[in-house]
Amino acid sequence: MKSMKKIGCFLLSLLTAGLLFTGCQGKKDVTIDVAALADALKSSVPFEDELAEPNEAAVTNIYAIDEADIAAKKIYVGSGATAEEIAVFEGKDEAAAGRIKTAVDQRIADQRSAFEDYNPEEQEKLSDPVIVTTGKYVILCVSNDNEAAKKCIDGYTKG
Amino acid sequence: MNSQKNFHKPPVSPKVRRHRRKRRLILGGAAVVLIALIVGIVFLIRGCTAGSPPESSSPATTTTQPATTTTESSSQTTTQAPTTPATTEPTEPQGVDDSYFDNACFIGDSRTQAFMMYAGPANAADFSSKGLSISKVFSDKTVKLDGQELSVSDALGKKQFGKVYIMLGLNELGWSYPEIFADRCGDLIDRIKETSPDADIFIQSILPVTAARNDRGDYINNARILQYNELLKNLCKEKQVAYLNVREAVEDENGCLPDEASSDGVHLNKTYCQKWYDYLKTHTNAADYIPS
Repeated sequence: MKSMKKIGCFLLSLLTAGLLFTGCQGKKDVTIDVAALADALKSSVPFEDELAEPNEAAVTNIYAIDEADIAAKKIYVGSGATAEEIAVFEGKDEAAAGRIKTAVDQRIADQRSAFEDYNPEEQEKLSDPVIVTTGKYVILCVSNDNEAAKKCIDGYTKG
Repeated sequence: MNSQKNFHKPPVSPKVRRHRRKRRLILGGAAVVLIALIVGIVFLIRGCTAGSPPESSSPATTTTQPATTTTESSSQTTTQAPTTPATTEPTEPQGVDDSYFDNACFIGDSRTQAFMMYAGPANAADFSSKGLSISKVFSDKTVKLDGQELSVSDALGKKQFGKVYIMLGLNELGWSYPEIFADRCGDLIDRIKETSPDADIFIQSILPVTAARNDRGDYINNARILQYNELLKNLCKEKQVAYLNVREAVEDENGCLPDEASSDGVHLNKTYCQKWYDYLKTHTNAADYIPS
């Protein structure tokens, strides 16, 4: 009887530990083709502006990100007519992705300030841009159609 | 007194021993099955949660009051548009390479900002910003340089440049007194001569807008742009600096920006920014472009 109780307690502990472990490891790491997602956003989301890739040197003026943090990236920016933008980053690791996310937030804050007097109509897009972080990836899309952007991103982030 | 407990157990019969062994085997088997089940559940749950939505967040919305504009009141001119100057001959038909602009500085508004972003030289100083006007050049801190935020005028004092390219005027087209715009551009030229006495200064003509944008009927129109460009050309003659007619790199036969060049009629796309840069690369000798 005592041994039955001991075995029962042991198995219960094992079950509890297993379920806890499952809870901590809930998210499966996804792998995203950064360029493909950026291109998909460009083609599937309706933009007013003509987006194009900036020069490599100009990226550091746009995003204050240490190059050592970036494993891959693809960016499309507007001509200045609008605040529309696409940026997909793969960080070297999740910690790097956290720093990239901070830089993306700062970019949005800078754009809000820049467009405040210049073209206040763009504030609506900048008030609620689509910013998604998953694992090592940070994804930004500034447009008039957040639903289209989210739908496109979901297609690449769901395993 | 003997306090030791007697742990001596009575002998166990073989039958009881067999029974206990059998029980242990059954329990052991059950434990193995249960462990296998737990591991299986763990992997199953991990596989199912791969489809869970990632974390999404948006930055906190800032509440900012729109700033009061300080430009002059807008008024559309009805003056006859002067004719476009003849095509300027290039001094470097083959074009210089990007390194030529390593000691250059570009001052301008959102059009110059897009130029620097899409096509401009990688190592040149970028003193452009959205909405920059000649009135802000001396007052607003629009340049981030070495961790500091400076006005264009102050930023010019931080480094000596070999060439300075300026394109301003689009945001000043609504001014009631265009001559004030020209006077203040003269102040900027003086400031550059003070801070970079050996620099070639290029005042670039204001680029046109598309016909559709022109036809909206407000102060942003090609006739007004040509008027401002004449003022700039006269200023360059007075100050003996180069007037670079870059608009000829992008305008069509009617003096308008082609529709294909811009999504809003004003801001150039990447292709046309590259045409602009190609023009700069082939028109480099400042002395050739000082109006006489």
